Amino acid sequence: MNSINNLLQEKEVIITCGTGGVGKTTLSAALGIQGARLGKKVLVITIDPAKRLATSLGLKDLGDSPVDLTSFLTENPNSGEFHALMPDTHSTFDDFLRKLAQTPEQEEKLKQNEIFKIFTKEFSGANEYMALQKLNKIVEEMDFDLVILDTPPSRDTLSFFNAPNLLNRFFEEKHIQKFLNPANKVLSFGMNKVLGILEKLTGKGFMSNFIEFAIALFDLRIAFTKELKNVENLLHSERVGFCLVAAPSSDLAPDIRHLVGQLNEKGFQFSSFFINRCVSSLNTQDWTPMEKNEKEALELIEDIQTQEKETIEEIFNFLQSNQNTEPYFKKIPQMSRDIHSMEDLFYVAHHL
Amino acid sequence: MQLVQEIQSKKFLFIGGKGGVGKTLLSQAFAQGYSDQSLKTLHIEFESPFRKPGEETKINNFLTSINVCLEPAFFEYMEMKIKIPRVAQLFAKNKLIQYLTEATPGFRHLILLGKTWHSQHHYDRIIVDMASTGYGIAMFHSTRNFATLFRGSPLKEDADAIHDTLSDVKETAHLIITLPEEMPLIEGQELSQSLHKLFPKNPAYWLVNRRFPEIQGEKKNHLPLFLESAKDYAIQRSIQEKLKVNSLLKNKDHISIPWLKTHLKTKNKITDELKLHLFGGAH
Repeated sequence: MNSINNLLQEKEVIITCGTGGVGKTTLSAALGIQGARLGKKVLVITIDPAKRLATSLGLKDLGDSPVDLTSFLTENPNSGEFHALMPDTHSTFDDFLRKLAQTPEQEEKLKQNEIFKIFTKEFSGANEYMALQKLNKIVEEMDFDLVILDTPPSRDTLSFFNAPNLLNRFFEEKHIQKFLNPANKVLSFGMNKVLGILEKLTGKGFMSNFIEFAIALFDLRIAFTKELKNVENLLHSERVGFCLVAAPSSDLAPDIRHLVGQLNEKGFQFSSFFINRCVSSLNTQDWTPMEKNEKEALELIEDIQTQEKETIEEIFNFLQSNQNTEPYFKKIPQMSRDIHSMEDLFYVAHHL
Repeated sequence: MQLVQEIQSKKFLFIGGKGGVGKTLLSQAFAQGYSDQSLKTLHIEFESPFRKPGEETKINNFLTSINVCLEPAFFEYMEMKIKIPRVAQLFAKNKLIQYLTEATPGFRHLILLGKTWHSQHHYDRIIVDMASTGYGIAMFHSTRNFATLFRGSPLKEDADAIHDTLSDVKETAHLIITLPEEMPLIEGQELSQSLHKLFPKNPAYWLVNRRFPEIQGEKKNHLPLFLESAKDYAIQRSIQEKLKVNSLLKNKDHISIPWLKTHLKTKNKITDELKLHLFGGAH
């Protein structure tokens, strides 16, 4: 891929992934602005609980439905548009239930269940599932030319995409049936014993709660599985490109190898790679340090520059020898301050 | 160094903060520092994809590091609860039970935390490297959630006991690691608030990692986003850092660690340097 514009023209969805603290949200927004400059109607979806996109745009909050921010663009984009949204995963899960539940009683019963309350609160895959669901809905139903999904940072970057599948296992019929209809079967001695121990360990309340929860979810499983399949199809299609964002630390190379391996394994299209916060372009030649701290600062910057150069070379060699398609690769220099306006984002967009 | 000593007096140390702020290296430096003083120390990582599940590594006579993962931890826990190993094995290996442990929200967290908590009988100090902010908070919440879910069961008693230990200012230190930059500081504050809600009587400690050397210069109001001169960058970086830390941490007492030169240095060498900054030279 020889230019970012080609990539933005080619893809309908760009998903940015990366560990925390690498400026992923800023880059997602900048990609969106670049898309708008090409005349596209762009939507940036950010699932970042730290509300970074809102902060960098100088806004307090973003809503659950797209907010038109085109008027914030300082340069007149030829008919392009820039929208953003931050999904409220809780309300989305409620919406989802309403849609799936066959009766209001069914919905209400599920909502009152203790396990369900925890289920929506915890990171058990529900939030991730809802976010991907939202993405799918937007891509299919709204007329955006380009949607950029900024995934939340996590240690294992792609765990975001595993979560819904883990959730899906909840619905696997053979397990649930085994559990829900023990009376229908002659249970083995072992199974009886196991259920007995389980009850002793967890108390009666948990078992009845769990059965109620499982029955309610079991009724929803067909609709759920269908929706998940749709999301999977979208993620694997040519329309979607995955964009890795990283910072040039010394332990970056192993992380990148791990990530690229995972992307390939999942069959996702790895289309672009940004190394953010690079200091290699800073000029150290005209600086003669006068005092101790200045000398330290200069040495530190030179140290980081050397490390950065070596890390990037290593990653570049790895990518060249391990990728069938060559992803678009770009270094973004370290910024001198935090981003607080659309104008700042424009500068970043210029560097893409 | 006084803060480090205070932290060191407590049995448990939970280290949290945004990804990429240096939690792993710093938690290792703490662990090394403890073990240098002949404290039998356990360093815990949760579900690291880079190590084998349950992998236990003896680093020196006083220091062991373990990658705590669901499956082995669950098995151990069941052995402890059920007492008859053969029955425990039957139970833990049962397909339905395996499925329930994976599918029940928060259960994973409780088991991992339970394993951590039970380790206190075998070690003087336990240091936990929490994967990310959200993960850590979800994990701490799991004890509350399960106390509600498992009313009147042995699991609830454990969940309550774990929560009590985490709340106890004498037994547990919560340390938030941040960088002197806006976003990590803000996320650190959010973590601090969540911890405060969970453990109001056990305020968290702060550590600001990777401080840039302080250099004199003028603050410019209309600064370009991308600078060309390393000197300009250094001056602005130094000024901004001070402003950010002062405005976001206020006068809160915190541990401060300088940005270390790491090129061509091994991980062990870096950990040693960090240890020196935390604990000082003389033991």
